[in-house]
Formats: sequence, C-alpha cells, structure tokens
Amino acid sequence: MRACTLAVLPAAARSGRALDLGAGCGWFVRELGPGAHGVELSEDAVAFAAEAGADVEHGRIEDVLPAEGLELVSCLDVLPHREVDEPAVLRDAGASLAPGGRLLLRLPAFQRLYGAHDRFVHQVRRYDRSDVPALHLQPRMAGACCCASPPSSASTALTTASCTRSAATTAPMSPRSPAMRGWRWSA
Amino acid sequence: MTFANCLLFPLVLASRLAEALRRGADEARSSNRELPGPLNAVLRRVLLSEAALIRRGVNLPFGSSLIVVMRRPA
Repeated sequence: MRACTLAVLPAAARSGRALDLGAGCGWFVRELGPGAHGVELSEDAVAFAAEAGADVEHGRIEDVLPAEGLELVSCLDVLPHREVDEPAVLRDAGASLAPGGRLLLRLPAFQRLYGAHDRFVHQVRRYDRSDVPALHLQPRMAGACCCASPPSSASTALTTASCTRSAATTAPMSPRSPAMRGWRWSA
Repeated sequence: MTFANCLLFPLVLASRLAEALRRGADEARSSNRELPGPLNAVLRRVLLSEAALIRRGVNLPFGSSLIVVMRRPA
C-alpha cells in the first residue's frame, strides 16, 4: 500500500514542505524526506517514529491546522476515524496549502465492506467513489481538482480533465445533494 | 482518483463475506495477520505491480482503498 500511495504523487510533490496528519509510526514522513513533518495522537507511535528518524510530533490534528504554505498535506486512512472532524480537517488542510499544493487522501473503500476491522480501528465509515465530490465541496477546497496524478508531464492535463464542475456552490453538503448534479467525472 | 489493493480485492471481499456470515454484527476485531514470509513476498509483489500501474496513470476501477489527490488552484 505504501508503494501505491506514493505512486500517485509526482516526484516534485514529494520534496517540498509537507504535513502528514495521523502520521502513525512516521513511514510516510520518512518517505517524503526532510521537508516533511507529521502529527500523531498515539504516544507509542510517536516514540517509534522518533527512533526511526521521522519528524513526528505528538498531538491532535487540530493542533497543527491550519498551517501555511504547505505543498502537500496527506491524510492516510485517518479521515474516517471517530476522533476526526472530517469537514474541519478538509477545510483547514485546504487552507494550509500553497497555490498548486496537493491534498492526498487515502480512504477505506466501499461502505458495504464495513466490518469488524473498521470497528477495531475506530473507523466510522468507508467511502464510495460517489462520496469523493463532496470532499471537494468543503470550504476552501472548492475549485480544487482531483487527479490520479501520475508523475509525468501529463499530470497537469489529468488534473484539470479528470474532474470538472459547472456549479459554483461552495458550501459543504451531502454527496447526494441536488447541488452535486453539476459534477462530471471522466476518470 | 484511483482505487488500490485491486488485484487482491476478491480475497478481501471473500474475507468480509465470510466474516459477515459467522460473526456478530457489532464485533470489533483486527484483520491484520502475520503471514509466512514467502506468502507475504508474493502479496507484496502483487501490490508493487499495482503501484507500477498507478505510476503509469492507470486508475484502478475497484479495490479496498481509494486514493484521491486534490490540488489547490495555482
């Protein structure tokens, strides 16, 4: 899964100022390099990250957001955690990005797969493809685009081509809200 | 946006279906297991092959994880 997660980021996006939310033992912070910083609620995980040489601080996500001028904010399997305020995290993560900055989300897929393991790790939900447009409609991320973002010169084109919307709505809403009708997906 | 853990998804699906049939609806239990080294190596290779596809710009159509990149307008 580490390799799949890194594969969506072009090389240039891995080297700037980055913040990993719910960084765990710091593997992703280590992969991103010296410009990356993480925040993690578990003291044990923070201690492990320190031993491994990852820059991870102990604290809650809301302690470090909003930040300023980040080129990457990552949130890997953390957004559906019961302690996470999803709309607030998306709003503040978006506000923390520099122009052109990226927000990377890894989400457990398919609500129908929700089961014992999700409960064990305190996840309150899983996500279907149809849930993703609503994530874009959080304040300050409005107008942002979604992409698979392969690390090639084609990535810019994909960024703008893979997700477009015709409505100018910016308020958060349900994925099945009538205001979602303006969205089109090509990927 | 792409799914990940696509090639192994049938195994995930079978596991969740079996779980649903034999366990209570509100049980909380980790599905993480330590696997024998050779099996782990095979599964790792499968995921690395998926990563190679994603790097080439392939959006995998299903999987147990969904990976999304949003970009703030420049």
